[in-house]
Amino acid sequence: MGEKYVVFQIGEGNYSIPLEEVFQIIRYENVTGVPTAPTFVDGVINVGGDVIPVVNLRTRFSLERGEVTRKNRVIIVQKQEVRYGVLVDSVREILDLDQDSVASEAASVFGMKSEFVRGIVKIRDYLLVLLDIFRVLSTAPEVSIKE
Amino acid sequence: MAFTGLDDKKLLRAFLEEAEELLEKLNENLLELEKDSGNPDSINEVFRLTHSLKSESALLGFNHLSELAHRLEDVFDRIRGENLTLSRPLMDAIFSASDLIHEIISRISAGQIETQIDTRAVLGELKQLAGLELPGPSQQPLEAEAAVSAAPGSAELTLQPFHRLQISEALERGEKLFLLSLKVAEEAEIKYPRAYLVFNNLELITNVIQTVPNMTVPQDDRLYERIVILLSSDLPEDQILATCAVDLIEEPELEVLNRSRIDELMRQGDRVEQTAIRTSRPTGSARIESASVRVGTEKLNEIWQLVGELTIYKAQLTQLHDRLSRRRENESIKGEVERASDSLERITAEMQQAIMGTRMVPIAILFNKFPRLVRDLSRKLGKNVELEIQGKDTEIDRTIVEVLSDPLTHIIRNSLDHGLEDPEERKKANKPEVGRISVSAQQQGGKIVIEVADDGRGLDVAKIRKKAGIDSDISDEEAVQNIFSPGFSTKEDVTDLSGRGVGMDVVATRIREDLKGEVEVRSVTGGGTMIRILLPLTLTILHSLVISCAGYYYAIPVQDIKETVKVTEQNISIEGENEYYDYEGQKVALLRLDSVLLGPSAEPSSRGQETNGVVVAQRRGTACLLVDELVEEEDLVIKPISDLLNHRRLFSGVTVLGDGRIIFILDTARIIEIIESGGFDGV
Repeated sequence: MGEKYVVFQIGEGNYSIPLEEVFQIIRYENVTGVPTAPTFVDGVINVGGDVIPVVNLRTRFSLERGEVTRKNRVIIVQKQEVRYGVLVDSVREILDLDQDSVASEAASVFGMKSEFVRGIVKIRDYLLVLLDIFRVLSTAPEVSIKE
Repeated sequence: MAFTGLDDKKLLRAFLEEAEELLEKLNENLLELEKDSGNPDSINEVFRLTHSLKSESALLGFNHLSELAHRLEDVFDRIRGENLTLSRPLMDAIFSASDLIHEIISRISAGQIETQIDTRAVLGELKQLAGLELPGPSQQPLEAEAAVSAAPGSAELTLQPFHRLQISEALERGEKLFLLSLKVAEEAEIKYPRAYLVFNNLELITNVIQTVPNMTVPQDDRLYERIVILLSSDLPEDQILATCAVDLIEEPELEVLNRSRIDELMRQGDRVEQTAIRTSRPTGSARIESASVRVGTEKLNEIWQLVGELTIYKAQLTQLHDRLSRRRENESIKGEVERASDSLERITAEMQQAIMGTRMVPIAILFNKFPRLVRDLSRKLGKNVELEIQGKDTEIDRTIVEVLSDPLTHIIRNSLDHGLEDPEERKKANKPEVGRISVSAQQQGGKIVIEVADDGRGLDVAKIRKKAGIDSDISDEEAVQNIFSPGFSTKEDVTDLSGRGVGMDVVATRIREDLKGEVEVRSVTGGGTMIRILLPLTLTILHSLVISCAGYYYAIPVQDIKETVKVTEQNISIEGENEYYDYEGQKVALLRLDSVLLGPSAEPSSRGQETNGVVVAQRRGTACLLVDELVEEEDLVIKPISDLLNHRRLFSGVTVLGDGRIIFILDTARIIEIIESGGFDGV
C-alpha cells in the first residue's frame, strides 16, 4: 500500500500532490479580489474565518486563464498552519501510489522546471507529475515555473 | 506568612502552579526509578526537579518545603555521583519525602501554614539511609510543628503556637474566649465578601485569634458557607453578636469557652504531632486546590478562533436585523430578532473580554528575569548597579510578552554595557558610585507603556549626528531618534560603539513591525538615557474604521486616525508631483488610496468633488488618505495575511466581516514610511 495522492488537471497536464498536504477541496466561489497582489493570485477566499489566498495555477504556469467552469476546484493545501488555495481545472481522482513506481529522475515533462517536480509516474494511459506545490507557492512571482 | 500584597498573591499562585507540575514529573520519574533503579535519565531529572523545587520554595520563604527538597537533591546528587545506590528502603524513604512535599503544598494551597507538618521523621530516615549530614536538630523548632485539631464543635480549627500564645495573653488580660460560628445564606452568590464584613466588624472591636476558613487570603468561595472564628474580648455577648448583623448572615452562635474547653484546646497539640505524617501517605488523595488552570496556547487559540467566528455571526445578525427593520411587516419577529441580537451582542462582547483576559499575563514573568541579568552582567563588567522595577502587575498579551523579551533584554544590556559608566568615571563626574537602572510598566488608555531608564552618560549626540548626517537645524531630541533607523548601529566602526545605542535599530524593528508599537528615546548628556516603548494591549483585536475605495474594503485602526475630514480642491496644493492637504494650517502629504493600491492607472474615483479624507498620524509623520466612503467603525479580529498577498507590506492583517466581506487592514506606519522616503512619487 502506497501513499495517497490527489490527481488534478491543468491544461493538458496531470499533476499530483500528496493527500496529506491537502486540507480541503472546495468549489471556486466567493473569491474576493486583492489589490496589489501578483497576477497569478485570483484573490482570497474565506474558509472558516481564515482568509486564504487563491493561486491560479494556470496563470502561474503561464497558460491562458480560461473560463471558470463547474469542474474547477480550489484545493486548500496546508503546511505548518499556513494554508493556500490552489485553483485547478479539475480534480481527477485520488490514487494510491507505490514509491517504487515513481521515476525520480525529474524530466522536464510539460516544460516544468525540474526543481518543482518530485517525480513522474506512468498511470494507465497518462503521465503524472508529482508536484512540489509548496515550492511553487513560495517562489517569487517573477520566477517562471516553466522552462 | 509574608503574603500581604497583590504581588505576593500572584507569586504564590504562580509558585503553586509550577510546584504542581514539578511534583507530577517527580512522581513520574520516581515511579520509573522504582522499575529501573539505575535509569540515569530519571536520576538526573529528579535531581533537577528537586533542585528547582528547593530554590523556588526557598524564594517564597517555605523553609520546610525547601529543606525537604534540598535533602532529596542531596540524595540524588550522591546517586548521580555513584556514591549511593537506590536500595528498596531508601526508595521508600524517598517516596515518603515526596508524599510529604505533596502534602505540604496542598496545605499551602489551602491557605494553611507549612509548619503544620512534621518533617523530622522523614528527614531522619533519609539521613540514615543515604548517609547524609543533616544540619543540627535546632533547625527544626520543636514546638512549632504541632498541628492542633481543636475540641468538638471547632473541629476545623487548627491552632499554632502563636495562637496559643495569644490565648494565654488574652486570659491574662482578663478577657473571655469566644467561639463564634455562623453561616452565609445559600442564596448569597458570592459568600466571601459577606463573611469578610463580619470578620472586619469583629476585628474593630475584638481580638480575632483564628478563623476557618482563612479570611485574610480569599479561598474558594464555597468554603465560606460556614465560618468559625476564635476570638477574645471583654465585651458582653450581645455586642459581639451585633457584628453579625449583616445581610444574609445566618445562625450566628456564640459560645463562651470555659476553662476546661480552653485547656482542651491548648492541650491538643501534643497529641496530634505524631499523626500528621502518617495520614498523608497516598499521594493521589491530597488534591492541590489551585485558583488557576494551565491552558495550552493551542487550545486558547482554538477558543479564540471560535470567538472570532461568534463575532462574525453577531455582526451578521445585527445586519439582518437592520435589513428587517427597514421593511414594514413582521413587527413581532423584528422585536424578537432585536432582543436576540442585543443579547448576543452583549454576550459576545463579554466573552471577548473574558477570553482576552485569559491571554493576559502579568509582565512580571518578563521583568522577573532582569534582577538576575543585571546582577550577573554588572559583576562581569565591574559596575555597581541598582535595579528598580515597577508595575510588575501590569497585564499584557502573552504573545506580546514572547516577542518583547529579546528587545527589552537588549535595551537593559545596553544600559549596563554602554550607558552606565564604571565606578571611577562616575566618581569623577560627581555621580553616586552605584548606577541606577529602572524598568517600569503601566497601562495608559489602550496602550502599555514600558520605560527603561538609566542614570548613565547618555547618548553621544554629536556622534549620532555625524553618523546619520543630520542637519544642524534638527533638534538634539529628534536627532537621537536616529538610533532606531534601520542599519544605524551596524554602519561602520563596530569597535567603538558606546554612546550610539547599539543594536537599537533591531530593537525598533521588532517593536514597530512585530508588535505594532512605538519606541522613542530621551537622552541627557551625562545624565542618562530613557527608552520608552508604547505597545497595544493586544495584537488580535483592533478597533477600526472600515472604508471603501475603488470597490474594495479596507480598515484603518482607529488609534492611528487623527480625524476624518472633507477634502475639496481648495485644500489641496500641488508641489512638483506631490499633492498636499492643508490640515489645520499644516501641509500634510495627500495620498489617493486608489492609485496607491491599484496603480496610477486606476480610474480616479471622484477627483474634483468633495472627497472623504482620513488623516492618519504616526511618529514619522502625518498623511491624509483619500477614500471613497467611510463605512463603519468595528472591532475587528485580526488574522495574519499571507505574504503572497502583501509583497508591498501595505497591510498589517486581514479580517472577515459578518456578511463575508474580506477587509484588508492598512498598515499606516508603513504607508507613511513610504511617503516620507518618497516611495509613492508621482502617485
